[in-house]
Amino acid sequence: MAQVRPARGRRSLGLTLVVSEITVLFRRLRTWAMIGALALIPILIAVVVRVSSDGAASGRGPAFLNSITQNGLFVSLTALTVAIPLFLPLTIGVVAGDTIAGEANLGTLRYLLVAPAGRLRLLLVKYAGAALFCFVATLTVVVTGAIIGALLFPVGPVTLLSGDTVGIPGYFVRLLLLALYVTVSLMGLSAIGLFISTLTTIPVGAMAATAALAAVAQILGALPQLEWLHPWLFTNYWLGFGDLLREPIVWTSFADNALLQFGYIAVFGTLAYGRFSTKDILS
Amino acid sequence: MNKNWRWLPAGIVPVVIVTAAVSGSAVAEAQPQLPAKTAQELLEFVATSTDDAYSGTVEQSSDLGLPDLGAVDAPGRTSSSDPTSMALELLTGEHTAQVYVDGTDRARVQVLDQLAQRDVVVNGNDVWYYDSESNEAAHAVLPDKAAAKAELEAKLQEKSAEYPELQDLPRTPAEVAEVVLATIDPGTDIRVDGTSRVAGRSAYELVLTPEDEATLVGSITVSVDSETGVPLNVTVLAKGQEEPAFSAGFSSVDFGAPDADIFEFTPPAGATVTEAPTADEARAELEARAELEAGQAPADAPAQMPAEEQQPTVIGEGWSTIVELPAGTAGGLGLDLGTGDTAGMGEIMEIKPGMDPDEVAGAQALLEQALTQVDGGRALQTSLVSVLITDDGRILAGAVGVDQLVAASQR
Repeated sequence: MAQVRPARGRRSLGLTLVVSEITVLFRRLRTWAMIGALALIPILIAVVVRVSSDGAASGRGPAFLNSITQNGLFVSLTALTVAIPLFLPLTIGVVAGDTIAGEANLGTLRYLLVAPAGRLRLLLVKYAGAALFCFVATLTVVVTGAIIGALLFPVGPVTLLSGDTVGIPGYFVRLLLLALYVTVSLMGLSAIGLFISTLTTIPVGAMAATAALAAVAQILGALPQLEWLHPWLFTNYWLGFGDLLREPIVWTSFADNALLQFGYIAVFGTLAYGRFSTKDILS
Repeated sequence: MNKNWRWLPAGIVPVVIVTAAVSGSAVAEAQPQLPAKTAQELLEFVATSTDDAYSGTVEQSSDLGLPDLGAVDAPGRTSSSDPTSMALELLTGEHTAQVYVDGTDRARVQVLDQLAQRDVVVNGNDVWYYDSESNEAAHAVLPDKAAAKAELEAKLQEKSAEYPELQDLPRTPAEVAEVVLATIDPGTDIRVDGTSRVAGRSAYELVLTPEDEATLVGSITVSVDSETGVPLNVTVLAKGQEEPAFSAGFSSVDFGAPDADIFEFTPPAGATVTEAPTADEARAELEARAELEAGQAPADAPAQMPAEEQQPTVIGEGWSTIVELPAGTAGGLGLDLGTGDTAGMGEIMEIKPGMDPDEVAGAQALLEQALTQVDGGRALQTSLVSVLITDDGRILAGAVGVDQLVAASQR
């Protein structure tokens, strides 16, 4: 019994830490500003299409754009396609880059470590916060898209890429899977951001470096000369979410993506641990 | 205080990942042990497999030494609506497709592009094509199989009096295998060469090697599943190129009957649906046109050639066969190169007239870039096939070097 109690105490401490981390994260004005900006993407797309839908120019623009006038539910997909390459990595970069460096910059890091939390646990808690933000950010784009689409356009059964049709409930299951897919896609980037954040005490530097890495990986991914490298880039499956919109669903990209992101989490998570646990905390 | 051990996990993880990646590919290369089969036995085996049901993922890639035309368009969004760019697209780059087959009657092929998809669904006599990007569907009705078969049998009976050799048409898998062997055999070394693993299944490797020095084809390898006889992979090697010039095969396969739902296709609301003429209608139309042009009714052969003078000449035989299209075709067909199969192309174009002139012009410009100036014309040299457009408008194509085409054109 004597051994169980401290263990339970430690676990509850971990939980309180997670809860406090999440409350701090979502009490920040910055977090809400970013979520608001993400929500603006589908709203902007829907309003622009609505205002200018006079025989729409077909064949150009992001995927699914032409389908919006027929079915408002496609707004979510167009917005997601637009948000994935730039806006989502940018916001993830801000959150993940801020994790450790932000505390160090504010001088709160050493107080966090005074509590018997342990550096590994602090890293895990910080990472959990970043991961939750990934999911909330993705869900914001998808849900706002569905709402604004339903408000401005007719809504009905959705045509999948394979030409089959699913009803609205089935479509929402797929949207949830999509949000999950995109969240998993961003986990590798979050781990990279966490590692970079342990390297510096200047959060802006870590944020910029993380967002820039996402851009660099996508540029490398666009060069056919570097084809051998592509399967190893964390951005490789970012636009593979289309596989969830086929009938039957093709799960291979989901599985490959999860494995790849897990690899990035393992590599950069252990790097972050190595760095953070050996670092002298001065602030 | 030495804390450096805390870096240990960061060192171990990459090692584990690299080891897993390397050993994963090493396992795949292990050769299974299978009872020996001759080429004849293997072909018989393949011929028995036509009724099988299976589904799986097919990866196709081509490396013909051509520029990647897919890269010109946005990635994964090649314009796919007209047959020419579809053919060009298949000659370059990589594709993934989901394949569902249930016997000979029902099949579905889904070409998976990034955020887009093209489907071909065959269900009995119905054939559907659907392109998600343009939201266009096409429907065709195949002639009734039983009726067509009966008709064919009747015709055979009729003709067999004239041509006794028709009575020897292959009927059993063994006979099919014999015929295939006899047709392929001259100038080809055909043998079963070891085993391999394809999509996690053990397979026999059937290798066809041309003995002809002139051809660009190095060898063709067909991997045949050892349990079912279904061909799982086809690889074409070109001479002087290490990477396969063309390969298509299953990366995963499941030999269970696919869901019946998969073969049901209803075009989605809002899609543009084109109805293709039935075979009878197409034939009637062709005959009417031929009558107009020639002023006389043609024989019952459903020739796709618009006019008689466009009949291609065949030079040489076997692997180094050269097909020559007479003067005037270069202008008319323009882009009908690469495949050398003008009859097939004509058929496709018959169904889909009114190609987008912009797209054709774009493809033409691309082709101009790929052509090189040679003696007496311009040539397209790929690692498998060469095409020569002579200055007087003839087109020569074959699986040989450009110099052979030039020599043939000057005879």
